[in-house]
Amino acid sequence: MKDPTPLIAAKDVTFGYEPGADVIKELSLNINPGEKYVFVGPNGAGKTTLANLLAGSLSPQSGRIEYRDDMLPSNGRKPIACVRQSLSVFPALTVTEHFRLLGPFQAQGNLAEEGRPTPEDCLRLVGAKFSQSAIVGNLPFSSRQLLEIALAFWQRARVLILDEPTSALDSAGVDALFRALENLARDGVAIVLISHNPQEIARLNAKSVVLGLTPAEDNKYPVPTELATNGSRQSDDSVSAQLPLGDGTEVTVPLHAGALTVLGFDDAYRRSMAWLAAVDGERATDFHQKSLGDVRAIPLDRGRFGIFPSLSALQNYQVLSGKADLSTGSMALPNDLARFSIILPSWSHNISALSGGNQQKLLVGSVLAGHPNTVLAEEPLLGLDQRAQTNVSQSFRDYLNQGGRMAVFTCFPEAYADLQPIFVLANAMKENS
Amino acid sequence: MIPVFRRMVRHPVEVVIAALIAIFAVAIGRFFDSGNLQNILAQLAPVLLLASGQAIVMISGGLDLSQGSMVGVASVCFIVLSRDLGLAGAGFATVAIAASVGALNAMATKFLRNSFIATFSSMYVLMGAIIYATGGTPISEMHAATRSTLAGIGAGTIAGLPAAFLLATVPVAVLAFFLHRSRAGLQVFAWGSNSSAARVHGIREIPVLLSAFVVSAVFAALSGMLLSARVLQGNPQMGEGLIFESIAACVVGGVSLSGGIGGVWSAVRGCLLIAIIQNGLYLSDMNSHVRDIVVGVMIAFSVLVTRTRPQQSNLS
Repeated sequence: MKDPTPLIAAKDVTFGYEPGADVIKELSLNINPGEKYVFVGPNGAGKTTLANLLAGSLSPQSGRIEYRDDMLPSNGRKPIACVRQSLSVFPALTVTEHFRLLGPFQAQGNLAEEGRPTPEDCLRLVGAKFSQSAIVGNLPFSSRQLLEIALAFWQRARVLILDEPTSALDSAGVDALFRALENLARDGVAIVLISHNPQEIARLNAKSVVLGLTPAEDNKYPVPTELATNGSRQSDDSVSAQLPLGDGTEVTVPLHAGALTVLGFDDAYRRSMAWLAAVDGERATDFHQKSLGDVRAIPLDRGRFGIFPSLSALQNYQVLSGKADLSTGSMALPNDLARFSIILPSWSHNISALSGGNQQKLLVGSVLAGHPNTVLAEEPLLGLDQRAQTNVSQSFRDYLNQGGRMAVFTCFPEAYADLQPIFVLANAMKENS
Repeated sequence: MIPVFRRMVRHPVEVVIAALIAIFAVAIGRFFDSGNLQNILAQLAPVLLLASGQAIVMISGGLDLSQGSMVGVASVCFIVLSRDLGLAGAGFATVAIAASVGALNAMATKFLRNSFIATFSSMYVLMGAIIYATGGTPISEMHAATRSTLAGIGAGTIAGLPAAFLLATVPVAVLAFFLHRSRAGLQVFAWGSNSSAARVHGIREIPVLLSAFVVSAVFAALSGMLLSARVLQGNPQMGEGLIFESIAACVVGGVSLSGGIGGVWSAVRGCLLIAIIQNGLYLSDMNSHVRDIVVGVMIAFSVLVTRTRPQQSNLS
């Protein structure tokens, strides 16, 4: 059953975004049909970079990447599907139009035309519940992620690369995805998974490719040491806010100064819609301004609501924290972020030079650095490695100790148990909490 | 040598400007005459104001098409009002009128959710109103004292530099400080870069739009007043065609049409590049229509060679 020739063979591949700072160093790797691979390593270790090299969207600086002959069809469209952290769906098109637009990769070999799944099959396979006539830009992050995975199935890739595919999914969604991945692997599709979740890694029973930073590289980046905390808060009142769930219903959420409120959802779609309804200043004016005052948000959909792609890392910090002391002309380095050991070439580099996990660390750290009255976060721990999760949890604890109010919207409430939160049943709370 | 080259690659527009100056200086003897250099700067002044104002609107993610009409409105208002209010009073009143137009543009952009249509409409409204009011004819009637002061601004020099140019650099420098050194300026960048994220992070739309469109309209008015000083009349059609120069200078200098990228210096160097191309070819005694063709080709070519490589994104 196993074909001896690898689909993709990487030989002594080296790649770096900056001269002298190689992210991937002399790495050799074969991707074989029907096999499963997991790329593990801390944030910024080069997992996404390696995936992009294999997919051909980056070129190695030395070494080479070879594709099996049938991976290089005449139309130049390699049968490699990537589900990325920043999704590549088209916001203005409907779900159906996506399936029409993206036909299957060139029909080849054993993938017979009559066995081909319909768009409905692909969407059912990933447990998607949204309407096919929905405009994709109106769907929450979790649904767009499911659509992207469904499209990867639809396109019949020989290699399927999934970069943190479960970040927006609930547990039913994760189950559906893993069942689908097993089926694809049995059909000879090579699966590459990038994940921080040890359970997922164990569950996929895959070959691990460990990427990591050497200690020398870890120290090379500027890490300011002094922690600055001098925020003042306007009000310490506890409030009960009527939180819209995005579907016309509401839930009453207690928000106490110094306490974390965890809103557990068993449905990623409702979680995202509820978060969006709560933070969207236009739609939820009452909730936003009248009951809470100064509200800041930590979004799951970082690309859309979190960061400013054309600005530098420092400018992103300044906008997100509100600490734009630019009048002196001196560059105040963000000391608030010291504990996160964010890996970046320099603060004046564009934010897109940071890996996904490091962007998340910068986002969380910057929002908390502004000492807002209330923080509404959607799955703030996802996409972070173990060490960063600990750092972020600790920064939540500090923020709460200083009297902050915070609500987390999550499908995984147990991840916040350490912070002794107030659990709120948003809809059919998970049984184990 | 290599670091020098690398620095050159990082500032391609400046390199092209320097190269053009060198070429014109060698090929056209008259290019470096002090008279010609003064001429370049004097002609640059109104466009510099327009392009700087356009830059802040483009950085906020919009476009201000009403600038050209605003130039005509300001030109007429300035001259007419100067009869009763004096020059300074007329200047303040014209700026106040422009600021209200800018505020209306900002509100229209908010409610129409589209600055192109909002300012396209106000372009027509302003143009129609001022031509209706004046009958389309220029207004030259003014006090003798006003005339001589304006002539001093329009044609005079201070320390060898044209007065109009020096007057234009002051608001441009203030804008550069606001945009690049203040929190409100950073919020304009943030809004243009990702308005959904800006909204979620507590940046309010109205102050961003107001600062962008009011600056743009006021700078257009200042530009109109400078042009009035040069021709010593209020002309309702003074701004014709200037809107294209303003947008082109921004784009050539590196202000992104999609928002969030650029700066005041980008607009300034864009203006310089276009002005030098126009002036050099004007001096070359080329047939005027052939000259237009060459100007167009050279501008496109400059953008081609100065286009900075997009920053390596890791696609994550």
